[in-house]
Amino acid sequence: MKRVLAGIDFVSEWSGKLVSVLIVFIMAILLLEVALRFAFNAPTIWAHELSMHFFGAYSVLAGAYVLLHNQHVKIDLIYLRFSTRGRAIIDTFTYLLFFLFIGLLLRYGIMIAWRAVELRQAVSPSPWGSPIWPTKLTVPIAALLILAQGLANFIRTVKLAVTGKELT
Amino acid sequence: MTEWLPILVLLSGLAFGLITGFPMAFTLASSSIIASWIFIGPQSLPYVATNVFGMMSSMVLIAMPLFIFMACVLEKSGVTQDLYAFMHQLLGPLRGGLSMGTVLICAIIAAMSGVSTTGVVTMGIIALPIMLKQGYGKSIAIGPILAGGALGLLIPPSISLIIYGMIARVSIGRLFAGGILPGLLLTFLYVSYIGIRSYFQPHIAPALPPDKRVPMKEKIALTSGLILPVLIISAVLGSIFAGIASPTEAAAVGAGGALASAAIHRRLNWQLVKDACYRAMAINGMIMWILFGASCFTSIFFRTGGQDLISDVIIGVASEPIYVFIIILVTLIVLGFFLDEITQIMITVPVFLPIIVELGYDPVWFGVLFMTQVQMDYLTPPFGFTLFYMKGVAPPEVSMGDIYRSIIPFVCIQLAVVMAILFFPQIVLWLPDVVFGLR
Repeated sequence: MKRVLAGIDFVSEWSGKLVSVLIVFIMAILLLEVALRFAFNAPTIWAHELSMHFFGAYSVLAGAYVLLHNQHVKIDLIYLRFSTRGRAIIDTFTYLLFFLFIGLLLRYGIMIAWRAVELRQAVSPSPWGSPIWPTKLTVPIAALLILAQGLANFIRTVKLAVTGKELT
Repeated sequence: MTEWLPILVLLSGLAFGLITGFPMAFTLASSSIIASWIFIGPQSLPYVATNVFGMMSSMVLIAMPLFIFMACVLEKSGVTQDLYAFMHQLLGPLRGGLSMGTVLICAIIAAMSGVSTTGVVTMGIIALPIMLKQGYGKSIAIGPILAGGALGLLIPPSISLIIYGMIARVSIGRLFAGGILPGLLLTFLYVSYIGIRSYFQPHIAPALPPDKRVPMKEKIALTSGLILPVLIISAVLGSIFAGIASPTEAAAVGAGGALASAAIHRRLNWQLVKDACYRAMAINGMIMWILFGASCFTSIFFRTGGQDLISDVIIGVASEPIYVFIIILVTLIVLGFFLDEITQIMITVPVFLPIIVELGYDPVWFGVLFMTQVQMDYLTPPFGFTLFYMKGVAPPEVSMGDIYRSIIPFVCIQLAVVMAILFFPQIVLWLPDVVFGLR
């Protein structure tokens, strides 16, 4: 069990670190676009669209990393007044809502990604008209990653709520 | 009354999240799911995925991670410390100089990073022990950190203004230009207040003793690390205002410039790039997931008729535009006690903006008024959001009462500026009109 949880943590950590590189690509693409437009008066049709695809993946795929590091914004003025175990009991219940949201996001994420493949959807209106499915596919992938991390956190939380001891 | 039920479900979901410390992103999304399941039916649920994807394909928002990345590179390459050392020596010999310097530093850091006030408090907190050690009174040492940090909502490149621009579909460039004058006005008033007060009460804000000052030559040497970052920020804003680059492109140039400046100062290394990448990814991911949840929340709020009900009530109660503004400003103050700024922007702007536009006001002006108001809400005793955060990071001898006493004059200044913007819209609109021409 411990090794499974550690494995999930590892995947979340590295999925986040991996996508963090995309910001450098986004920057480089846009710098290239600016350079081409000013120096050669030859703007591209693809730079902004490509950076939009990257931005989408970059944002949604960071979810699991942010959850692992407990950085999702929460309003914890009241929450922090409870003991560690009290918080774990509260979390056990709120995590059910988390699963509701992420479960639906996974299910309908697969649906919109599949439809994009099936109908060969492209970005529109756009002169480049690049296919949209790769970016749509990142929605269910991100949902899967954050679901796994949520499950790992949930197991730890339940253990803490029931026994009062942390899972080490 | 049944038409109020969906709103009630949505709002109680929100309240549930506030009590249980459930992350805002998931609170917003799951309350919208429950409301739509009950009131629209399960066939409506695919909106969860389409709304998330809609947010992901926003062209305007691409500027956000780029500005965050730029700020992370500047911070990791030591610009913050350079800035602090410089301000310390430049303004230290004045009475109250350290406090004034803190306002300026927090404002500049906030402007560079555009992240939430809480982030700035962490950086500003370096200044607090130094001020207390210099013999500064708590009442003049704490306020500047909080008030300066809050300016980040207003001074470009503010992330909050980018998000507002996305919702309101107005030009980010105009918003940035509109935020500058109110931001400078606030900074000027803060510095004047500190200056006047410490001139008459030198014991609470003594000048830096002569043996700790450094000669002019060394002061100039301290600026060397700051020249490039200042040039970068000016180039970014300048190119937006001149209309030669979109905010997204300007942000990319800023990020590239920050890397170049780190390289020129021989501070660029693999570790720095890695740290900046990870941090920018985490901050952007955190903000974007709130936007995902909030876009689900507002779409269900609209589909169940919440928007119409609220605007009917507001327009029904308020016979004059001024009452509409009073209702909006009071709502924002109350929400400021509970919500972080991004959630607050995401759920209140879509409700209020149509009313404002219908009354014939400019959405750019309202955006700047909104941010000025929101930054005040976070500092308003007794429940302002950042005040509690400050208590958490301040040394133990600082009590909640000290924080309240210290912040009140600043909140009064902010209130005055909110009123000024309300009655003299030209404070906001003059610069955008000059820069971009009249619409």
